[in-house]
Amino acid sequence: MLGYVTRRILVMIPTLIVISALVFIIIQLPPGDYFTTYMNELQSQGEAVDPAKLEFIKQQYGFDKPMIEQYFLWLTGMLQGDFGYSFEFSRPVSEVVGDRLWLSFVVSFTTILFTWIVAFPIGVYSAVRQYSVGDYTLTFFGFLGLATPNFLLALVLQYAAYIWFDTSIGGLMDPKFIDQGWSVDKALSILEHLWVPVLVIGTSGTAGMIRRLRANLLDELHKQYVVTARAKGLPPGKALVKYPLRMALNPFIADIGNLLPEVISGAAIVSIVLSLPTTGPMLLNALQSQDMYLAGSFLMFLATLTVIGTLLSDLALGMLDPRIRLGGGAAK
Amino acid sequence: MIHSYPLKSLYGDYVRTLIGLVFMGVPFYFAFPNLFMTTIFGGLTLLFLVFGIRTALRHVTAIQTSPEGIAVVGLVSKRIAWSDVAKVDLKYFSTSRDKKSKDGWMQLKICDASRCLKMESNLSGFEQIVSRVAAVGFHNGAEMNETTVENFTAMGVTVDLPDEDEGDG
Repeated sequence: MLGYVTRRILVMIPTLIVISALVFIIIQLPPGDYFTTYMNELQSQGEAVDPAKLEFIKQQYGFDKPMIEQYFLWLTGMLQGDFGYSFEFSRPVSEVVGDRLWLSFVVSFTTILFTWIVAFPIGVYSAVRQYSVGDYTLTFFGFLGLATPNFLLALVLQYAAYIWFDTSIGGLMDPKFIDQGWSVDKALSILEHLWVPVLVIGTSGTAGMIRRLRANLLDELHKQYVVTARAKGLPPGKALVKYPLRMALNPFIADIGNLLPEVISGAAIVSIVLSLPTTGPMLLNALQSQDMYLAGSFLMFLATLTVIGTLLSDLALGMLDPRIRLGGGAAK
Repeated sequence: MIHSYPLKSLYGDYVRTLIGLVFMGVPFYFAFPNLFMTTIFGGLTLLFLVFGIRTALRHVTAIQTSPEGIAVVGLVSKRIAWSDVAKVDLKYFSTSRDKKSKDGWMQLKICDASRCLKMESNLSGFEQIVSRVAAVGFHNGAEMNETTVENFTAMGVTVDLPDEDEGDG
């Protein structure tokens, strides 16, 4: 296993280096920089801008240096935990992201739990009772979930929550709690608002997961070893859980690679529609205003989580999925 | 019969150790004041250091098979008699998800009641050892999971087993 882990980590190194270079290049691609945009904005409002001061700030943050030098400064800074400075928020990136990170985590983690808790039993039921009324009904709702645009569902549910439950529109808590410290009332207010984004973000994921689990389990249930197990009189529950279900769980495990960045990034469009104070809208704003360190560091953070998630899912798959070498012949 | 890890087959692991130590050690040096980053890169540097030590140990280790048993001869020596083989595990590792890649390798683990021996497929004469271990394992009724049996088949190892139906009338 040690050899496997070291090889997988070695694969991560070039991946992350290439991603970091790509992220930096893409962030730098639009003409101008944050200060140019900011200066133009101020000038359009008729405010005076001191060019000397602007030049001083540019020098301070290394904007006058060649791109390759800026890249290495950014990279070595990140290795020391310094993700740069957000010009828009006038605060270090780590502080800006940190504020929203945990709210994103709450929304996304609850969504993942919702997806798994709902998808797992429905997927198993649909596969075991294939072509039954229950299967058709659940499949119908599954397709409905896949086909409904998230932002539309978000608007409908916000309206419904306001009309029937008197929940304030938008946000993750009532406005009066936004700048307050933590209290039971604030936590309850978050819980009151949480179900809408969880349902909206989770619906399509749940539907997709049900379809994949159903298809995978059906594949396994039609294999000869299951037929033999049944023919030999193995109880149906054991004949389902012992191997077919374990094999069909692979998509859940393989999804960990995608889940980790999702937990942090949240769904940007839904977050904007629902005015959620998560990291998705923050990334969009940073990209629009060319707040390069905030956008770049956050994208790099997401890429690192994706790579780590893939490593974790590979390790978990290795344990869950029996390691059988496919194809004959001796290994090297 | 003496089997050893040919130096050529260990080059790759030495290179991996070197790359790992450079790419984790340099960030470890740069990350020094930051506790979180230092811990992560320190841990990864340590992992590659352990991997390097394991590779070096393999370099000086030989596997000896005799009619009586199998032994590891090197800095740490162990011996298991064929008659004591109680558990056999043959795993396949691959960094490719399709498991058909030729880049994968196999790991054989043989245990008696108290100790285990591990060896990997870059060992010279690995196929012969696997064949022998499979025969001994089936003969002793050693604990083997389905993955191990499937991997024996994938390697082309076949064992003549006594017919289960014999004597059933």
